[in-house]
Amino acid sequence: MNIGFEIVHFVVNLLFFILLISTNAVIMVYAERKVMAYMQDRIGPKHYGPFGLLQSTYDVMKLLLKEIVRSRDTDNSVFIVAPMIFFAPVLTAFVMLPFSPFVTQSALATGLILYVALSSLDVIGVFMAGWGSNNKYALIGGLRSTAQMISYELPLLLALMGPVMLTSFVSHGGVGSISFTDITHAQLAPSWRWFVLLQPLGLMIYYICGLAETNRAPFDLPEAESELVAGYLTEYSGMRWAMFFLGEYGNMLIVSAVATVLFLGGWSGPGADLAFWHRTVTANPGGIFSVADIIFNVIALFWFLVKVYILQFIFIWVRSTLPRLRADQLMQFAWLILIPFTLANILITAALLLAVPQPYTLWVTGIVNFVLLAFFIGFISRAIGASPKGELPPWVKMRQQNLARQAAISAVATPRLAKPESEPEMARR
Amino acid sequence: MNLGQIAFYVLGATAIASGIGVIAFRNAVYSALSLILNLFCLALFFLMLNAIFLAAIQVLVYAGAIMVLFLFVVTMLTPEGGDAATVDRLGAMQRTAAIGLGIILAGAFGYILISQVRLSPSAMATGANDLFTVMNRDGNTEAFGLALFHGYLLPFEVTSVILVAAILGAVVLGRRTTSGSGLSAGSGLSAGSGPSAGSGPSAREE
Repeated sequence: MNIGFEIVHFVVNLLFFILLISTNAVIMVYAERKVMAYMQDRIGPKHYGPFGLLQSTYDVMKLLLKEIVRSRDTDNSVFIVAPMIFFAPVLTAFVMLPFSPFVTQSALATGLILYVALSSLDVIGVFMAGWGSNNKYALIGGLRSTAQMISYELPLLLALMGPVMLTSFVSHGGVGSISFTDITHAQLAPSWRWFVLLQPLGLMIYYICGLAETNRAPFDLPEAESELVAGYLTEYSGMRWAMFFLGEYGNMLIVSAVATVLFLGGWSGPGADLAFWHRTVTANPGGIFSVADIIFNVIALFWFLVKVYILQFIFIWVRSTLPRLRADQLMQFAWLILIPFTLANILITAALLLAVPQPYTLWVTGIVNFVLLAFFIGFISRAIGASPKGELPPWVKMRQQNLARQAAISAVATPRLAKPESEPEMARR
Repeated sequence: MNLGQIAFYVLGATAIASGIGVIAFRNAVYSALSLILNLFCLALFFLMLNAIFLAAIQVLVYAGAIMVLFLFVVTMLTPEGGDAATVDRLGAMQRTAAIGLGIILAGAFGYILISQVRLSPSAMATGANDLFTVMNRDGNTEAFGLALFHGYLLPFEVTSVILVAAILGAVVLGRRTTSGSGLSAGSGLSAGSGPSAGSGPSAREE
């Protein structure tokens, strides 16, 4: 293996992934506008191409032709380097993903931990953008985003421990694995047992943290238009802005792909069975791959992409459904709800894998995890005060009673000065 | 000269340059950013030694988490006057101590470089060699896990106890007490957190 081959290999991979990220971004922008339009009873883009299909292509052309504006007081070096530092880890993280058995760039033995490490590097780019812009809105946005990403990294990493522990139980020899390929294989043999059936709580928490890591709604505080203009993106324009944009959509793709690999069985699906195709199609020894291999890979890739795009669709769905959280709610949600639940999940899963005898282990683990998931959803819905029956949570009821009592007392003491209801809350905060 | 050597020299130059940048920049944010670059170069050195797990942990813990906290603190504490307003506050005693320690460090490194210290045969026979065979048999992560949870379990646990003590200290020091009512009234996490987590949306509903 000489230097020339390595360089060619590197350049081909780089171009492939850049094209993948850009194509995905173009598709997702169109899908996002169209899906959100239908969910909000609008039509969405419709003028360019059939059904407005060319809209995002024109958007890309506009971005490429746009002048790059830079304000006079920006900190030049930091400002220019920031988009690259944001984009580089996203690009690198694609190397580890197993799209299908043969479309895998490198079957790293430490893929999972390396993915987490790379996703933690994004923070620096965001911080540099906020600080280098020399703009107070950008700085506030950058710092908010930094705090948010740091907080949500912990439950993200802890939620990924579930599948890793399951691999140690499922695989022969009792040795777990943090390689993406191994985890996929652990969900295949001997029959499908996607880890979402055993760790639904893990998938739920991972997905929530993924929403926060990619700065998507309802966690898009750093870009809250109503308070911060555009957060750390305020001073950016043209291609530099587009790099942040591509990085964000690339991050969405990676989060969905990792969730697919860890919880949804990777490329497995109906028809993705190599032995079956080897039996049906006669092997063709002429090329590098036989016909059976190619058919199998196309089907595997198809299932992988289907799962990834379903998860990305949920990104859009969540965005058009949920309102944005407040900054303190965001922090409390991570530290007081997500982290305790992930820690409990790790403890309970490990204890069950060790304690329950062999034929029932997976059944018991899965059922207990579903119970935990139900408890988690109930807890969230109580915490945000929206129960399906329209009942208020107990503490809200208590506060209303207190307010009524205070209002009664103050009405007795000073009849003219009855306060409006929202004021005591503000004072408390 | 193959690709690995070229990468090594480029990385070494970057690491040294960023290390000098940490102490040479007058702007504290630049210093912190060059420290991140330096730590990232160290991670890449680990990567070149095939220690992928260590490299990932290095990036995750140092470049990704600790340095971001540094950046936070530096941004909050940057003096109002501007970037170059950092005052030189080193006292005479501190300066002499720094020079002395620097000489000792340089002497130690020079001794290692000149005398070409090697691992003693007994050390190679037991600890290092054993780890090496484990790494060849099971791979990086397994060797790391075995060493951490079997060979060095007691130091690991002691470290975690120290860290928990530090966290408790930080919580105690950072806790806000409401004026007048003292400790017994609702201060800290337990009383404030539950209700306020739900107050926003519900208040809007009413």
